[in-house]
Amino acid sequence: MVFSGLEFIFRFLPIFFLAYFATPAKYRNYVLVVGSLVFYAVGEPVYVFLMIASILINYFLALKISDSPGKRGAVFFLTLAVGIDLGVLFFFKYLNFFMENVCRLVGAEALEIDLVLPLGISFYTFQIMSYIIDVYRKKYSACRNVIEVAAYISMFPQLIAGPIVNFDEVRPQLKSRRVRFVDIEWGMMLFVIGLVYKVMLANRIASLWNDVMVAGVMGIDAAAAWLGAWGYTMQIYFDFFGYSLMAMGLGYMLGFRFPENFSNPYCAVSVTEFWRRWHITLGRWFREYVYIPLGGSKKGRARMVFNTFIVWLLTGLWHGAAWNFIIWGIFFFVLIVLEKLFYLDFLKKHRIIGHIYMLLIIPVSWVIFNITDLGELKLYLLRMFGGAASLGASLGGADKFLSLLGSYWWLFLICVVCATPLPMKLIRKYRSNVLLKILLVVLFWLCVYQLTIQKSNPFLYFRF
Amino acid sequence: MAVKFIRQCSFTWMLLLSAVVIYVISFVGVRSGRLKNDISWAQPIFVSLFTHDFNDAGNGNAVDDEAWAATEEVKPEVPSEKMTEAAVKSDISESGVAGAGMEGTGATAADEPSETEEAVPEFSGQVEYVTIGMRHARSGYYSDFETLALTSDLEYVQVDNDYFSDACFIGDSRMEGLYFYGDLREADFYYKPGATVYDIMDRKLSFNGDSAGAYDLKSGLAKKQYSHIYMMVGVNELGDKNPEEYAKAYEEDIATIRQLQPDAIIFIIGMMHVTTQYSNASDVFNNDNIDARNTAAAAIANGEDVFYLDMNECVDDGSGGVIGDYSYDGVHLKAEYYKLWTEWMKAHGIKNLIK
Repeated sequence: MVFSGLEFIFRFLPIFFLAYFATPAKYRNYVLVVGSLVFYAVGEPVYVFLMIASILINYFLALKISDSPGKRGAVFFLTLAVGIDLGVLFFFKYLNFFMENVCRLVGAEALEIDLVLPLGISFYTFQIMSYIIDVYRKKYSACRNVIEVAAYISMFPQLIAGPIVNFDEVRPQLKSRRVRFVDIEWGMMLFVIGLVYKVMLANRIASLWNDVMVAGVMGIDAAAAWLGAWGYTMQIYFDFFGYSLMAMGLGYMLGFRFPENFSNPYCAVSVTEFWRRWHITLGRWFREYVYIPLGGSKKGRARMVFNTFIVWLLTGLWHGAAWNFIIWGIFFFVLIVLEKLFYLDFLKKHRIIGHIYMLLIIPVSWVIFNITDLGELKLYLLRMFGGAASLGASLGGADKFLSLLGSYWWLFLICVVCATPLPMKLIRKYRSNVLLKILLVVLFWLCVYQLTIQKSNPFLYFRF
Repeated sequence: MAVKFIRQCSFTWMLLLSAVVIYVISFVGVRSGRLKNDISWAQPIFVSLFTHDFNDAGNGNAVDDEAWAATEEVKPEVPSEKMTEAAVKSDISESGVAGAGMEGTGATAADEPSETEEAVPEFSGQVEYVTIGMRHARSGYYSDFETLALTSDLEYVQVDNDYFSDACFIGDSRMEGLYFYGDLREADFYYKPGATVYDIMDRKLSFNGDSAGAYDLKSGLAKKQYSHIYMMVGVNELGDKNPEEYAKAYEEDIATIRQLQPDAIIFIIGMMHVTTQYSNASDVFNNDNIDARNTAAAAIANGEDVFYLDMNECVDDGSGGVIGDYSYDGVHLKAEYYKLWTEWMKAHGIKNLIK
């Protein structure tokens, strides 16, 4: 089930909330855990048991770490827990990629195991590991209530696509929480805004990138290649940001405050700043559990560069098991190191140049992120950077670009405005204004309408 | 508490209230029998309200059970009428195709005219039909069939681009691709992504690269006379109605064009296939459904001034689909492959149209 689906909005949510609020506050964690497992099991009827096992093992090992009298025992259980968590993640996500490359190196026939990646495993594994490591570091004591741990890991608003919450951020609320009417109201509004971003912006501008890919490199000129890349830039942001807003909204309605995951990333003037605003909880995780333990920037310049390299290699791999994700990570590593060593201050002072710089860097990064086939990726980048000499000119000249521009300029404009802080600022300011609320109700039903016509007969709405 | 809720949660209750209203309307609609009762876990009651899925006929959905049944009864009759005319020739083609089964149809279509050329010097101008292995329908949007229409039997000659200077092409996004990348700018092109046989005569279209979309086909055809007109639509509506209704609407479109263009020769181009991979993955958007509809539409060709063309051989992968590498999405050719279609068009000029 996804948040932006009729099943979730009109079946799961009403039933869940009725059960949730009909239950006395003391027992709501049970409802939350059962509801979350049902939510997960609808999409992953088998791997839901993997997640349950993962929760139980880590719950148990965290207690062991906490209760170990000496450091050696704690280290042993920590290693065991992290080993199991990473092992499972490696098995499902990276084994095939790893074997494929090893076999290629040796020149052997690649063996492939038929594996499906369990939903949200990258997110919940990282969340579990943060819990285990924090317990080991004695940041907080291990939780003795298995339901609270299960609720923390499996909580359906953040289970599939984050944010990656630290246990101490929700621990007090897991013990006892009060849901005020104003929280429900604000949560509802956030959910609807997220839905609008996902359905009305992300889903719609998605066809721009698709159109460009359908034509292929030979069908687009440099301008169309850039337009497509910017379109995808918008798509991925409103997709992810919309989802995060919906998660936040659901959190409010349940009585939780999740950490913010996006803070106007496209307003950044440097890559360094971008990654403090984009998927904030992931960057935070790598900083806390990889970068700083490796010594961060405190062990000299060379070591800092090396640590940054490790972080970005892993960040790339976290997003997917393919070479383009590794290149994508390295791309950011290079830029962040260059910025740190040379021109970060310059960008901070000359913000306009910073914005132009990011206007070029961000779409290139998303192109690398999107195109898994390295040959195709190379051709697309060549096209973006005027590789007409080696590729040959675009077959349709500028026609494709003009036609795309003609169809998408207004949607693009709305996306650009919504990528600035302005809309959320206005919404926060007028959050109790009746007109805004009516507008959101109307937008909600427009989204539902959109989802309905796609659902009832998807074939009728194909556009070839 | 209720007062507090109403005061503090105005958005929440407005949303809930609007939902109640919509549910009530839908419920009344379903109870009174005007709205279709089609509710499931994934399909809330208001879906039929939003999609105007009314019970009364005419507006009916293709998934209607009655439509299914009707389809199966009517279906075999349509081609069989034409079959008698071509029956003599189909002996040859059957022997050519039967061995190869489904796979060889594309190639046979190409060889057919030249084979008959030596045996019978006269060209019948008719669409020929071959019997193929039974194709079983995988969805209610088409029925089982074992007859396939081949390109009209005419004397085709190689022509150059100028041949198309008084030609007009009409279609959906695939026609747009042919305009953009086919290098056939001598002709006029009317197209719109998403256009269907049902709406193409009435909706706003793009014209020769101008995507402002302010052109409509009827007034365009009223203004300028063409000597040959090519039309390919249908892929968008594979999941709507059935081959017979599709062909009926096609026939009406052709009649409208004929009124505006009394002297033009009209060519129905059978839909280009999708890639085999794409076809295998969809019970609706597959090459069997395309073939069924192409064959139904081919019956409109009268052998005098309306003909049927099937261009699939120029992009065929040998198993009746478009070559996988030629397409990103399985439905459209990549830019560089539209030239194959153009070349095919140029190999299918008609002698008496050359000035």
